[in-house]
Amino acid sequence: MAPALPSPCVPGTRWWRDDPAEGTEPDYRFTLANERTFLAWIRTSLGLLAGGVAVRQLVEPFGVTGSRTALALLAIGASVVLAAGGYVRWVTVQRAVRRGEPLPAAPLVPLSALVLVVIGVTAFVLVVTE
Amino acid sequence: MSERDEGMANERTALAWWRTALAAVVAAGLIVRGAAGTVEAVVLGAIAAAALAVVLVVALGRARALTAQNRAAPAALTTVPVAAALLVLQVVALIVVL
Repeated sequence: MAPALPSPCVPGTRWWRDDPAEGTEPDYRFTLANERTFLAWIRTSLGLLAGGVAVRQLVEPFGVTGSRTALALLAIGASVVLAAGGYVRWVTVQRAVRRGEPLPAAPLVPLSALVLVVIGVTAFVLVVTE
Repeated sequence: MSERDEGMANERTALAWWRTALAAVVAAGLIVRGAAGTVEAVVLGAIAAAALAVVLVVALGRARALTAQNRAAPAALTTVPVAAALLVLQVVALIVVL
């Protein structure tokens, strides 16, 4: 009889949290490296959050009406996506490490690059066309 | 855990927590400053301050545990409250901006 394929999640566990009972306890350095990566995503998210609020509060209005608010909302929205994605990434990597499986793909990296390019280009256009 | 921490993983992680706490202070400060002119300034400021306090308490506790090479607190007990506190800050920021 062929061995059963590993299920995406052990019955009784929840996808949104790390379960220490799942798999085996990994080398503490892997756990800490994953924790540092999570914190790096959180700091990126905090930076976007602060930037969004600062654009709305500290920057002089641009020539286009509502553009300052739109730019702030774009940054804060990106902050939400990166924070949520960073947490999901932490859980999935921790689970993969516990199971001894390959690390999952990281779609958050190109996504964050794309978002930052959009925010940067938008800010550039607004500043230049003022 | 061995006596000798190859690569100083504990120390680097503790420093990462301090950097995150500092970033949270800056972000929360800007949010509170932005909320100052609104009608709900006190409520928004209090919520932002509470979220910041959660981040600081978790960061301080985790950094101290890591520096003492004590892994008593599982990472899940630190990542979840920090992510939740950040979500609260984001909601307050949205209210301030809008």
